[in-house]
Amino acid sequence: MSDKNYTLASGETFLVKRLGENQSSVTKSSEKLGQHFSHSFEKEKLSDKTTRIHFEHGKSRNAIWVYRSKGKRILSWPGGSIELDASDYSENAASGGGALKPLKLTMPGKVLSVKVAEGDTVDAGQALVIVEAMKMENLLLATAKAKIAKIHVSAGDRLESGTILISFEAVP
Amino acid sequence: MTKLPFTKVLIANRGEIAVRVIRAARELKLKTVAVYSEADRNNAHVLFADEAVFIGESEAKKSYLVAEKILAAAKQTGADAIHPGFGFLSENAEFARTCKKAGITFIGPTPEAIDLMGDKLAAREAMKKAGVPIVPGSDGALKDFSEAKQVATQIGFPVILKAAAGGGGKGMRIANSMQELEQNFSLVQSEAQNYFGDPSVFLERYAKDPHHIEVQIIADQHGNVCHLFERECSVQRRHQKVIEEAPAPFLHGHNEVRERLFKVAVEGAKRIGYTNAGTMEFVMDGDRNFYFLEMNTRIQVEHPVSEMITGIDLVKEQLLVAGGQKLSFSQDTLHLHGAAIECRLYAENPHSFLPSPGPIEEIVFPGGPFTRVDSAMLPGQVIPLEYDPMIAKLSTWGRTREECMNRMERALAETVVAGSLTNLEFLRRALAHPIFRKGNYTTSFIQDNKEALTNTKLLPPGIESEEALRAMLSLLAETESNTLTQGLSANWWKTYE
Repeated sequence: MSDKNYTLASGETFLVKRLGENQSSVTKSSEKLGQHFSHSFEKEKLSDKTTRIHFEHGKSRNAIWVYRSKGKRILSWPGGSIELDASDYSENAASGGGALKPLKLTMPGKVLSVKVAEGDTVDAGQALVIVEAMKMENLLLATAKAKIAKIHVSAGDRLESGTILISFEAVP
Repeated sequence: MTKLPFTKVLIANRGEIAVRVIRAARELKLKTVAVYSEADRNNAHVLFADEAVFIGESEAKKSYLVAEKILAAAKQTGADAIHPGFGFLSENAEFARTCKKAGITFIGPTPEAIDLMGDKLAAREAMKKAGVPIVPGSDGALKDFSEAKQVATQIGFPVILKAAAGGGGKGMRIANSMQELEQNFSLVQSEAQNYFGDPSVFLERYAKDPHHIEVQIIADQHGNVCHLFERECSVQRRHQKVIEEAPAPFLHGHNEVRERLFKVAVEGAKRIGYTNAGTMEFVMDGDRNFYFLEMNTRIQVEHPVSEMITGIDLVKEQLLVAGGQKLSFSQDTLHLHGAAIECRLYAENPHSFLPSPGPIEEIVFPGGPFTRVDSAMLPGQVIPLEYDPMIAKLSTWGRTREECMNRMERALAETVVAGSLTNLEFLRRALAHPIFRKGNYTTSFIQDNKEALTNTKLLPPGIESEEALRAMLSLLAETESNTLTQGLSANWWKTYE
């Protein structure tokens, strides 16, 4: 398999070299500053969705578990974890032009009641939806003045994290 | 050992507490029966029990909360004792009563004691009579909002609204103003109705930045009531405890206050004829004045820290005293030894504290001296949405608090959970925080130090910069087929709000 080059908008370049079936090295460089660093990684597939990456840093060896699910990666290591969200990026890019961000569920939950109707104009702070999640009732409020364009859910729905509840239109 | 009147214990619970009870029962050579819902089919508590009975759908209302199903499982397996764990049916007096009628020993206090302490208003009254100091608030349940308004005006803001039948941090909301009181009144009322089947709500003065101090009690049926010293559980978010320790660092050097606290707690328990394990919860102000909050009539999540400083197996004592035996120790023979800390490892976003249940692709628990793990998680499991997103309780003990904290930091740094976000990093930051190290933290510790406790741009160890992280991800993208490569070439780094 061949080596690959990734160039970012900033002009930085990542050169990914295949050293073996599960070993690669990544060298980062930019026109301005030259080579920044070079890391070599070993990849170990643990399951369909989880890969463990081993790498050296100075004299220490480290490992990171990378779990892949739709649109996001969860990186874990001894003592910590972070989430990297790809969909958030693409969505932000798509929603330029002043469109209001839709109301999304940030954790799995059940809709108890919807307090508004399509076509309503709501003010910042107005109650929109009551969602039960992790044994608590959560009152979701409008963050800005807007018109309710569409309500995507109804009372009783059990929803996954990330589900869009309400989309808005700007109020002239 | 004297023979117990029962031989087979059914555990009417799930997860780590079910495993905890199975362990105690097994050590007493008792047979065990687990019950499980659809989501818990492959849970560790099911594997560890001698027998296991399926009791229905994942939603607790259709399985763990259905008394008939639990009793039918007991009948089917010939279980002659039921341990309710915590949550679910543990503080349901009717359930305890039904067990008794069916000739099954309920491992817990009497139904009368559960009833009395379960009604937060009756509990206040009873404790007041027993000479236990209580927080100023409404005399009984509030009739309506206008009464709430009146009481709040009288005692002053902030106030806390509580479901009379509530507990465990559910059905409680703070109001700082009349507007918030109005908004929260109906919310708490409906939570009270939905979760506890009783819409009664009362109101108390909310002490600002208090310490949460509690006393572990255990009593037998022969009139012996002992305390296992105190715990401090002031590290909380959304009224849920995250880190607990024993003894309370806030009471270090204040033995006179501690003795008074123990005396009041034991006296309160004696006066209501309490039996089995229970916890007297107190709110303590900066001047170390304390007021009774509530009594939890069950074993508590944070019981391991009390076990570690006393060497007493509380769940085993629960089983023994429920079987009519005397406590295996007396107050005089009980000594506080060293310090213990428990951290609750949750599947949650470490920045927003929102639950983030997902799969456990791999799990590595800490080990080594004086390090305890209570968990029912196995690799390959998915953390169910239906229940608390707690993965494990990690506890450490040390001869001094200093040694204990260092040991906990070490234990946390060994722990890996792949597949779900966890609060590990948050816990490590809390343990290392100078306020926590000093031992003078209040219930607003997390809120006040949110920035220091939640790093929004955290990097894995050995990855020095965002660029290095991107490089690693580009390696991954290169070897995965996909759409990701696209996201990569831009700002992969997500800033948390």
